[in-house]
Amino acid sequence: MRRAWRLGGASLALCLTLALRVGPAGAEEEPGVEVGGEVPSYLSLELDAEGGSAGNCTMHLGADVTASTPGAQLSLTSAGGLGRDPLEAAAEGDPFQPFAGPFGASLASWTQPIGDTAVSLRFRCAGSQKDASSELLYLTLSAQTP
Amino acid sequence: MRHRNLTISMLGAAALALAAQAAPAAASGLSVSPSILEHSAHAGGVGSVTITNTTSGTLKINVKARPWVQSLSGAVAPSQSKELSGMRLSRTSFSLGAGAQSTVSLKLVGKPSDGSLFGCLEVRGTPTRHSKHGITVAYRLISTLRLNPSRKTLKAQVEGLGVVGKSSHSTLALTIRNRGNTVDPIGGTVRLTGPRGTLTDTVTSTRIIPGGRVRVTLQSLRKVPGGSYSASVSLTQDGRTVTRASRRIRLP
Repeated sequence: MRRAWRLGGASLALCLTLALRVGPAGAEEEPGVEVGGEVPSYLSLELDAEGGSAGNCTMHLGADVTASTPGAQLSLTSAGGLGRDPLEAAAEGDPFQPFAGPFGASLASWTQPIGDTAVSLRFRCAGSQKDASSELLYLTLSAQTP
Repeated sequence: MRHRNLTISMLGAAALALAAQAAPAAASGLSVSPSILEHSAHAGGVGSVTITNTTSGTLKINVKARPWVQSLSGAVAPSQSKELSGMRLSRTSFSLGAGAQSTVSLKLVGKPSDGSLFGCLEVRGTPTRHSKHGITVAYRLISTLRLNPSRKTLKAQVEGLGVVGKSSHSTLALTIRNRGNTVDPIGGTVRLTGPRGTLTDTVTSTRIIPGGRVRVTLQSLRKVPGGSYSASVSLTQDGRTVTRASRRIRLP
């Protein structure tokens, strides 16, 4: 059922294409009449079920991102804010990076609007840190420009 | 209130509406709309945002209006310690049940001193049930607030133009400060004139918060012969030339 909530450009384009091709029977185009609607801009972040183990200090997580305006960024910050965090994170295929400070760790960014784009994330303890219990992390979806 | 809207066809709207109806059983996250709230900067109500919890559990929601921190690269992040002065929110901390949504209204207490206010709305959603893995991942959505001035001041300053990097990795870099009261993108051109001719490069349009400065990297100088060059910069904003500057630079 999860796949029902899809605002992706491809599926929308497909809907539009099908609707335009099939159309209501007997419908005729009326030249010069423009029909439109407006949808407020939108940011959405969804998280899949997580996996991993606190004992091994690893975790993986899937995120689905929708941003109707260009220039979105997915990053990770810790609840501790500016302090050094004992964890590192990475998007699938990218090297691990620490996250601290106001900008956190940038995991992915997009220059165009995106619809339900999946990102796979991995976490692990940094250095000699072996325990990540009680860690609160904020997965952040934000604008890249003011 | 003028939202920045995505205009789509009526059929597209119908498709979205159908998708949204199917949402509650499927989605599991947090959303905020609009993601860019744009309004004129006057005292009183300046709009509202809708926060929706589509997870299967309750989220503890915290909302704060914060100023941006802008790095020299142009990237922005909410300030971690400051809140946007003069902005009042109807709700700042509350619990949002599974499938519920809530509207937060924004009010500007007085007109900002320079006529505009730019920042963001930070919405944090923390699960009330903690993860079995020890690491709890919470949601944080940052939407943009643009309270535009009734009278724009477009002004930019060239704070630096020089070479960054060494040898084959060197590039020309331009540092721009926004001295105006808008976040309208600032772009332009840079022209380098030297003994072997003239090179022209485009300054990519960048939004800079009022008072902020950003360093824009221009073209690689790998194939440009060394020597003394005259550099002239022309910056534009909202279709108008806002500054011209000349510098003498030496390329290695």
